[in-house]
Parts: sequence; structure tokens; C-alpha cells
Amino acid sequence: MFTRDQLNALQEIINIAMGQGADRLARLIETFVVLSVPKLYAVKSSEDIHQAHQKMSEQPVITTRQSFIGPFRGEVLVIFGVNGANELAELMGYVDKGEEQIKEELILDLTNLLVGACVSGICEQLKLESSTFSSPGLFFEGGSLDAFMQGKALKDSKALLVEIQFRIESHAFACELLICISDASIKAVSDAVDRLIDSV
Amino acid sequence: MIPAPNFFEGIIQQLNTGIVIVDQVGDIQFWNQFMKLNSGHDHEDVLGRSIYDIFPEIPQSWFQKKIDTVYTLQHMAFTDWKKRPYVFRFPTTRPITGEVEFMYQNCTFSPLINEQRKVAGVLIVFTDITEVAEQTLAMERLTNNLEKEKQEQQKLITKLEEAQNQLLQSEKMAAIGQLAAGVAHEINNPTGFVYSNMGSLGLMVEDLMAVIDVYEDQLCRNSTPEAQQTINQAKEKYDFDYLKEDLVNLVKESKDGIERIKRIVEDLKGFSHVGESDWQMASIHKGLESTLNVVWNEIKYKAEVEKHFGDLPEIECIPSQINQVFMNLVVNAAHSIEKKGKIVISTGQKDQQIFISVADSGCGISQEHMNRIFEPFFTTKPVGKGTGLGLSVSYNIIKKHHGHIEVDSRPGEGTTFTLWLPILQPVQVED
Repeated sequence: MFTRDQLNALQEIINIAMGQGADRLARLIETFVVLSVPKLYAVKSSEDIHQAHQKMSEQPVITTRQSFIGPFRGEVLVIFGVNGANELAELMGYVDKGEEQIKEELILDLTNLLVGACVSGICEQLKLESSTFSSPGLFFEGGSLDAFMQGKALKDSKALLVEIQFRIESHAFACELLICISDASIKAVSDAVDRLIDSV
Repeated sequence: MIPAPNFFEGIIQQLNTGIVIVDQVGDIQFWNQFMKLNSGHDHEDVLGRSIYDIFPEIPQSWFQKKIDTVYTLQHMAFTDWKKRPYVFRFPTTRPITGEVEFMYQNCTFSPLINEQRKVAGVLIVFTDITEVAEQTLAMERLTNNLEKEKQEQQKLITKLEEAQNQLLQSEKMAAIGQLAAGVAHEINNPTGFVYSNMGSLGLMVEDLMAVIDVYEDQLCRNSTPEAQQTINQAKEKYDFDYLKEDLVNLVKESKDGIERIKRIVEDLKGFSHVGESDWQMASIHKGLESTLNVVWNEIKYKAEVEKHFGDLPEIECIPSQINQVFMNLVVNAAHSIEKKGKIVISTGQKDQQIFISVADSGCGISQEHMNRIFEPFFTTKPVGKGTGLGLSVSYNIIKKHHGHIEVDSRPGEGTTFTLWLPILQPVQVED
């Protein structure tokens, strides 16, 4: 799917993109944001997602998803702990927190922020036309990701998977992003990477 | 066709979609016809005014965060009607046939980028989703109703199962009753002639003894000493004095035994009351006595039974069923006693009701089991020992008789069950 050079370059590009994304996110919610070094996997099946993701896969989680559409196309899964993002209600402008309704809307808002920050950053770095987005939605709630994925074949699963962990230390909040890039836009990505490599 | 200068604005004005543009602090830069028609404010009225002034219902800090998101991340933001039915409080688009009060909306906030690649405004586009919301909400209601109905049905099925099991149990009891009555009848005939033979045997033994007495008397007076000695030797050899005494006793005891067999057979017949599943006036004491006889074997090593019977009139009941209840209570009482205890059965009358109480000195019923004892299949006995149906069947029988059961139990001290039954059933007796 990708050559070693391409993967190395992608790793760098995504590092930079994520750094910028985290920076903008930090400015938006006026809080320090820590993110892990993104890990890249070339995924061939949903089995690989399990393996890429064993650390959190046993825990019950709330998972949301959001699509990004454009030359760079795919879906992002955001994995929250069972408490969601309640800690961040105030940062996100919610006044009366604690209600179930708010908890759900809040994690959708946050999903949108994280996905926006990451995907836009990547598009910018790859000099791809920026993506547009579908509205975020709840993917599943309750069980572990592993249990949910069991026996479910992800369509178009020959894809690039980027795993990033976000942490906001002052608010005891952490979540994980899986950026799944669809098969169809792999070529656009690899072309963009090649252009970048050539221009250096 | 050459677009007129205001061609695109015309399109935007005509779109059946709300379009609002605000700047970084939320001041309105533009809004289309859809907004005007729904809010009642002209474009000119709202231009430059804060969106928070026009729509005071918008939560300001939350909304501002959306705008900030668009400005800071140059990224879209969304609202979902399921989480937040509306951002702008507009009246529903189904005022006549709809059920919701407001227009449900999905909003998208997008950045408007200027030539310097900076965000110059936030484009808020929202669609009226009332129709979908109505349908979804209706579907949810339907699902809830179905779920509720399903649960109701489950309850009914459980009830049906219980009823069926009780039916089975009472069928079983009826079958046992029939069997018992059949056996009783078969035993009754041989017992009858053995009883009558025993009576004759008793008389004959007496006669025989009288004849022997005469023999002895004559022997003493008229026989030779040798003959007397031979006879005395034979008497000693066979222990004649004891034989004489014991023979009478044996016959008497046998008669007692046969009498007991007769009584038990009678009781068994009375207890099962084959063909007597009709309401009739019956004596409770008779029922109790015959029940005790039938179950005596179960309780005789466990408990002594004390009876405190009051004066009772005959009551209207189905005797075989009432006997079944007595049997349950007495056998339960015996089972609750671990080694040796006491069962006290008292009866009495109060106004138009009679009571029968069965008190034991057994292990008692714990608080947690107390409200479950009348539940079908509830049992604390080991698997295979108790069906858990005894008390539930009893409860239903007593209910059918328009009576009730009271329980008083102290763990470790014992339990008292008291049955209350009306002397006469209410007029419309159900069969």
C-alpha cells in the first residue's frame, strides 16, 4: 500500500499536523493538551484494529465516529472512557452539566473538535484540498471496542490507521482517535506524499 | 441564461433552509428569507445586531464555543436534533397535524474564508427536520409501547405457566385421590371379612376357653394322678397359662388393628372424596381428624399433636380441597421440626368466620423468605424434596373459599398458619 519511505514521510507529516491541531485545540479550550506520538498502521482487516488497539480494547467505552469527505476521505473513531467528557463540560461552554443529554452532545462536540483539528492538519500538510465533514454520531456505547468489533467486518478496511491519544491533564481526561483512511483515497495520499518528498 | 447580479442571492433567499452569517462575536451579517419568515424579523432589522439579543433562548457560552471552534480551527461544527432539538426557537412546521411544539433542526456551522485565508464569518445553515423528528419520535413511542406490551405478555405467559402448573398439581392430587379411593375400596372388602372373622374368632376363643375350663375342672376331680401329671407336663411345656391369656389378647389386639385399618381406609376415602368436588356443608373437625390419620405416619416420630378444638358449625366448602390444605399445613409443620417438637391445632369461631390454626415449634421462616412462601415453585427444601407448590395451591384454595391465610413466624421458635374461612360462601359461588 505504502512504501517504507512514504510511511516515514507520512509519520513526519502527521506528527506536524497533530502538533498544530493540538495547539489550536489548546487555544480554543484554553487548556494544555498532551498528545501521544501518532502511530501508523497499514490495516488490512478489522482484526488489525484489534491488534493495533489492544490496550483500551478490554475496557467498556463510548465510541463516536465522524466522516471526512474530500480527496482525503475516511472515518475517525474516537474512543472515550465510560465517563465521556463530562470533565470538559465547562471548557466547552456548557453551563448546567451532568445531564445525560449534555453528556452525549458534549462528546459529539469534542469528537468534532478533535477530528477537525487532526484531519484539517493532515490535509494542510499534504496540501490536499480540505475535507468537509459529516455531523458526528454515536457509534456505540457500553461494551468494549473489542466485543463490538467482534465478527464485524469493516468495509473498505484496507486502510491506513492512525492512532493518537489525547490527554488534558488538568481535567483528568483522555481519549483515543483512530483515523481510518479509506482505500479510495490511499492513492491521493500516496501521490501527495510523493510530491512532498520530491519537493524536498 | 446569464445570471443577474443578484442571481445567487436570489437562490439563497429562496432556499428552503435557514441561512445566517455571524461574525466572531455573534453579530448578524446576513440572513435569508427562511429566517425572516420564521422569526418575523426583517433582514434590515437584525443586521449588525447580536444573535443573542434576537434569540435570547440560545445558550450563549455554548453557542460562542461553536463560533470559536469555527474561527480557531477553521473547522465545521454541528448540532444534532436528537441531542438539542433546536437552536432557534421557531414554531413547528406541522402546527396542525404534528405533535411537537417546535421546529426541530440540524445545524451546521462552517467557516467563511476570505482572500487572506482567514475566517471572516460563520455560516450557519440549518434544515427543518421536524418531519423526520416526528417520525422518529413516533417510532420510538411505538417501540416503547411494543416493548411494554412484550413485557405484559411475558407476565401473562408466566401467569399462564403458573396456572397450568397448579392445574397439573391439582390434577395430580385428584389422580392420587382416585387411586387412594380405589385402593381403599379394594382393601375395604378383605378388611371387612377379616374384621368379621376376628369378631367371630374372639367369641370362639372365649367359648373354647370355657370348654377347656370345664375339661380342667372335670380332670381335677375324676382323673388318675398319672393322667393329671401328663397333662400338667404338657401344660408346662407349652406354657398354657400364658397361652390362654395371650390368645385373648392377640385376638383383641388384632381386632384393634383391623379397626384401625378400617378407620384409615375410611379416612382415605373421606380425604380423597372422589366425586365430592362440589360445595357442601361439612365438618372441619372431621376433615382435620381424617387428615391427621392419613398423614400420621409422617408426623408421629417428629411431633406430638395437641388439639384445641372449639365449637364449630359445619361450613360450606369443598371438603377434599380443604383437607388438602390441612394436609399441606400439617406436613409442612412436621417438616419444619428438626428433631422432636409439638404441633398445636386450634379451631374456633368469630362472627361469621371460623379459624383453624396450625402452630409448630419448628425452625420458623426467615424474613427474606416470608413474602415469597406463597409463590409457586418457591421452596427451601432440597431439590426433589419439595415442589414449592403446596402453599401456593393452598393459598388459591383458600382464596376460592373467600377466606384468607395469616402467617406468624419467629425464626428459631416456630410458625403459626391460621386459616380464616366464612361459614357460608357469598351467594354467587364460582365453580
